[in-house]
Amino acid sequence: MAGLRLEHVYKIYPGAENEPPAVSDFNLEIEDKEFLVLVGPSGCGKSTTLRMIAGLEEITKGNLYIGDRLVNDVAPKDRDIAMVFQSYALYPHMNVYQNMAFGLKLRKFKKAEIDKRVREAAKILDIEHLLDRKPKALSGGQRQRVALGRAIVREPQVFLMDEPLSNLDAKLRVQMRAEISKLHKRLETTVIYVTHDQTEAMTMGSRIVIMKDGVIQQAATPEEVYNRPVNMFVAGFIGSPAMNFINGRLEEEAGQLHFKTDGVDVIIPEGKAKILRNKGYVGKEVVFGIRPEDIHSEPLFLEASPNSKINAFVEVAENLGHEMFLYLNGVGKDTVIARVDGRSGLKDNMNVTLAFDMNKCQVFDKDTERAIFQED
Amino acid sequence: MKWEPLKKRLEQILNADVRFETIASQQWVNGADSLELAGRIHFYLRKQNKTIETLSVESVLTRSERQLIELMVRTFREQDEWSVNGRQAEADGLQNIKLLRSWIFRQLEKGKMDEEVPDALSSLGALYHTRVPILVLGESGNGKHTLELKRLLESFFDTEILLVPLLDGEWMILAPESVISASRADGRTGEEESLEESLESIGMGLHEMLTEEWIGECHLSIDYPFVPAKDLVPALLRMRETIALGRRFRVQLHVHLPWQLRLEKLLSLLPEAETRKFVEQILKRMDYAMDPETLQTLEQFFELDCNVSETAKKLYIHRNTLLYRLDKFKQETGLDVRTFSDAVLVKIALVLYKVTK
Ligand SMILES: Nc1ncnc2c1ncn2[C@@H]1O[C@H](COP(=O)(O)OP(=O)(O)O)[C@@H](O)[C@H]1O
Ligand SMILES: [Mg+2]
Repeated sequence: MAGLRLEHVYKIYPGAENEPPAVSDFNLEIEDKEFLVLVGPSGCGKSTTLRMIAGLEEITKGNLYIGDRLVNDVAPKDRDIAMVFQSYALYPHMNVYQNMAFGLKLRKFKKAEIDKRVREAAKILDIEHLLDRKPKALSGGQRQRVALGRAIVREPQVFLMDEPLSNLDAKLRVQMRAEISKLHKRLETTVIYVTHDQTEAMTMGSRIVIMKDGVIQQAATPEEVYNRPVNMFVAGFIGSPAMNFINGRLEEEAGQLHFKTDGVDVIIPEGKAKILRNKGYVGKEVVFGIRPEDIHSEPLFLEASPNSKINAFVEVAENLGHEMFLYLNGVGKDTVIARVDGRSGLKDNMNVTLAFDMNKCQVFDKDTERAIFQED
Repeated sequence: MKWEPLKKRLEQILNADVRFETIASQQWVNGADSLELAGRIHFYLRKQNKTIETLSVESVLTRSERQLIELMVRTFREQDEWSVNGRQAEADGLQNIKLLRSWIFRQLEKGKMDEEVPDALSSLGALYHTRVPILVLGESGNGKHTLELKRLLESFFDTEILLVPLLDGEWMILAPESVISASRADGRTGEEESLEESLESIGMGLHEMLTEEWIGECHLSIDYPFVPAKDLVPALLRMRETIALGRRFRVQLHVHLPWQLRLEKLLSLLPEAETRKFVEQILKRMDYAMDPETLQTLEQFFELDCNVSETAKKLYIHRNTLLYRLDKFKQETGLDVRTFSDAVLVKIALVLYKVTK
């Protein structure tokens, strides 16, 4: 078992010296037994980071420690890690049992030990009945399990997974997601998991690292990145539908701080207002952020929130049964999405009164895009 | 000398004088493990011409001590002989491989592609049977041993293979055709797999194994089965070309297959200036058109045969979002990738874009 430490790690691919680095100043300590998820849009450097940890890409600059050992120059096979990648390939000429046993055989494990580990892994993954099949005769989900099994039997210090579920269909993906989480608890090892899917990140990670353009934006628990995103990128990336961003101005009126724009005049709660005043944002243009689920339609909520009511026009109401998405006009310039109860009775083309939950709102600096409440 | 540590340990344990000695072989009793001679007990180490090398101890040993030492020396000896002979056998094989390697290099130097491998090298009988050729290109200068790789590969394929080290970090593998059927046969007959699919799965599996269990990242090409005696050099050149094409046109892939790089191969023959002009003409406002999102969208779209629903699903975006992106691309370039002829142009421009960048 071991933690990892990445110290100011950079990756510049050969021939790409004139472009920004694929990974830039990646600085992070990963604890033993942690389930860490790297998430971000395609091309942000997730795979590159993971491949450097695996030893498949050279680290251009910086240090990588696994446990206390500096491993920059250690070959992949000697790093005591196991990988499952998006493009994982099984050994086509071996059956499932042999696929899982091969790595151990190479490492000269005793037959009995190999057998024990393979059968145990097969049991965990529920593929005991497939042990004598060749990969060709397996479904996508079953192959994925075998790939996991091959990693599990090694009992590595660290598991590296790069979008291991992306080739599965949606239903299977959800199921395997839960199984990998269970597996992590059971095996008690460190897992570093890469995905571009924020839902996957939120449901699986004990900590999430959000990347953009090769740079870490935020590294924190799912709750933290959801409730206290450090910038607009994180705020917009985590959560679905995404947080609404409304451009407007902060104005002081009769001792209260208002956020105002077309169709919006809401009062910022005192605690938050104090921060904004202290930082000199009164009278300034800012970006106001509110998540769809923090826009309410319930009468009780409206009654209790006279200071944050808005009137809007429902362009489309998408009813999913248990919840409903409202695409609203008249709140700032762009469409605002609200997520309300499926039984709210709201329909297309209605004029509605809604209210923001102002305790949950965010305010961003218009230029730096940083979340003002989270800055120290 | 390898016996030295053993001698030292014996001296310590017996607290006696232990020596290496040589005695004439006619003095030895054939097959005996030890012999008493002139007040000392000699233990047989090995025969060297007409002499026998021994380890000798004063004749003060008890019977069981003598038997224990016999047992120990014999075990030690057997292990040693086994490994020496084993290595010798492998070294013999390697000698031929070295000859084959120099022959290949000579052919390359002379620019001769059509010469058959000379009979002198045919003790590598393997060359007259159909083989599956694989070229592996690892990082150079990692000092990896050919023998080590050969053992790894033979244990992976569970059959004998021929491994030819070429340049630093470059190896050609000639595997028996049976690896193809082995990756297919299962008793359960699914849909018949094409040869290309079989070869691809072997290449992918091998690449995965080499990365995880051996050198780390490497590039690999696998080609159609052939008879090496006739076509060795052309096959090698083809695989080298495939890897070069793959590395140039598809930087993120590591297994390169000739049948997946046909268009790239053709396009690589165009003069650079022409290429650039073409790309600029097609993707007029390149900076707008070619942001990473658009690039990924188009690539995925072509990969999935211009199927809108499939592409949206794969990209985890709504169908309308995809249509919006394609429309935006159309507005910016005047090309509608939902029509076949424009799709062809854009596909070619994309292939070239990455190498003209
Ligand atoms: N082998 C490579 N050679 C050159 N550039 C690469 C290579 N692999 C990835 N890149 C580039 O590095 C950046 C990060 O890529 P990657 O780590 O694969 O992102 P992600 O996994 O987040 O989608 C991208 O701009 C990509 O084009
Ligand atoms: Mg990736």
